[in-house]
Amino acid sequence: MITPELKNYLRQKLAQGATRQEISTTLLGSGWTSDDIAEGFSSLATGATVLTPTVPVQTVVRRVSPVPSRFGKKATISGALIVASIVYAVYQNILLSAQPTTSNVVGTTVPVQTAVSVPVTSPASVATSIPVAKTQPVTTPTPVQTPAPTPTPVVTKPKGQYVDGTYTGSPADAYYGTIQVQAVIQNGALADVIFLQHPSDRGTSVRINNYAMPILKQEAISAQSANVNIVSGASDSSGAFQQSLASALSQAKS
Amino acid sequence: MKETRSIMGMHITVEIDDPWVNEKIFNQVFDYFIAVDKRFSTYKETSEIMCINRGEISESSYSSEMREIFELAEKTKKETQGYFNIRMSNQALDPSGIVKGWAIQNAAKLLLKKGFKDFYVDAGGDIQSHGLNAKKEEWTVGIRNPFKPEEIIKRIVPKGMGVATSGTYLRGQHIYNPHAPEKELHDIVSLTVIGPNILEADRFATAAFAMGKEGIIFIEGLEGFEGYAIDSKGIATMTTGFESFTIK
Repeated sequence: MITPELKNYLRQKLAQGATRQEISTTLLGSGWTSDDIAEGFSSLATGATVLTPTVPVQTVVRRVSPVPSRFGKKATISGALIVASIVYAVYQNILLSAQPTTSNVVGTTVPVQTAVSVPVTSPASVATSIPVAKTQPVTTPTPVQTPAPTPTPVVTKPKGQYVDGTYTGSPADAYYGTIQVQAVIQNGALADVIFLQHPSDRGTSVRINNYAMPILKQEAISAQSANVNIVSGASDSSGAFQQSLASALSQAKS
Repeated sequence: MKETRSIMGMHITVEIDDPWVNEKIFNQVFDYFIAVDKRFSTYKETSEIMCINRGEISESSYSSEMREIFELAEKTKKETQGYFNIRMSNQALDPSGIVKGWAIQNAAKLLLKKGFKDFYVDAGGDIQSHGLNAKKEEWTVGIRNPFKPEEIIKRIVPKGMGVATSGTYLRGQHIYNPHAPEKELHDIVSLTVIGPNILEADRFATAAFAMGKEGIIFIEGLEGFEGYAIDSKGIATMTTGFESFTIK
């Protein structure tokens, strides 16, 4: 069965100039069937994917101090790496810091950081790894091509010991929009995370799921009137932020 | 009249809008949940389920409530190709996945028996409603945005049916795939099921959630059930009859 990851992968490799034969060979080697691959290519060709993200409006959730944008050009690393390092750093803060940190991003009972949500951990942000075929046991994705980030000590030093400065991640595709974050490191620890972009207007797009039986309707979730008597959802949500971090962390480790 | 208490590690809200409502009935309902927690909590060393897990109680002396839950769990396991399984990978039994819906169902039965007809019982986002609200309108239920808890992304009119939502960040990773226990579930982050009553909705929501992306197809195949699944990228998939329950 083809997945959005597979489509993204195909799209990116084609954009990078790889031939269909090369792409197919790589995918076959990682467990995809030739049918899946052919279906993936044809879905691109017919434009079956209509979940075109709305270009997100730049939204700064919060900032500690004005951050000069020139840092963005100096220290751009891949979105995936910065996200991984941020969550690792935040996690270190939670684990290792006995005192409240200067950042209320780690305020563990406050789930109001709207952009610090699951899309940060989305596999789609790992731009060029081979998507894992659904039918085989999950193996470590083979990175075909690392997007050549500027080498940075951020992701390699343990124990939250980072180099002070402000680091801007490159925009990461979260499938329905783009996420871009800036990390502020002070005194060797993460002091703040600033969201330069996050998907704020997803719009509603409807498509027919054409590879699963039965045919079920899909849509991008979008806010509705909050005028209801009762709310059904995964419980009291104070843990959502930590959960998001913890699951991201497990990805950052692998 | 509405009251919320924190029991079983979650918020339980009961609203009753019949004119003859009184404080006494709230105490009876909440006392019932407290008793259920005392018997089934895997966080209480003295609970019956923990005594069973330590081998301190022989099968012949299980309480009738415990037997009922085990029977329900066994039935659900068969109906879900083993996806619903109260036996954890460490061999301990944890019936939490079925106790909540069962307890809500019994609380609603208690209210009906006492002559109330306009009410709902909400335990941790799983809901059984009955009759009409204080404005004499149908009860409305909002589905929470799993990425943005203060936001509602769907409005449902359950018309007396049960509404249950399973999610990955609820009480940690308490839902896992028994066929691959080591694999973290993250394809689907939230699955809401509307079923004939909350017990049915809850047990199938739990099992279908463990099926990942296939879960919504499983719900599609169940007569009398509808579902709304949200994946980790914010894309929702709904069963064919789901929209008959929604309002804009």
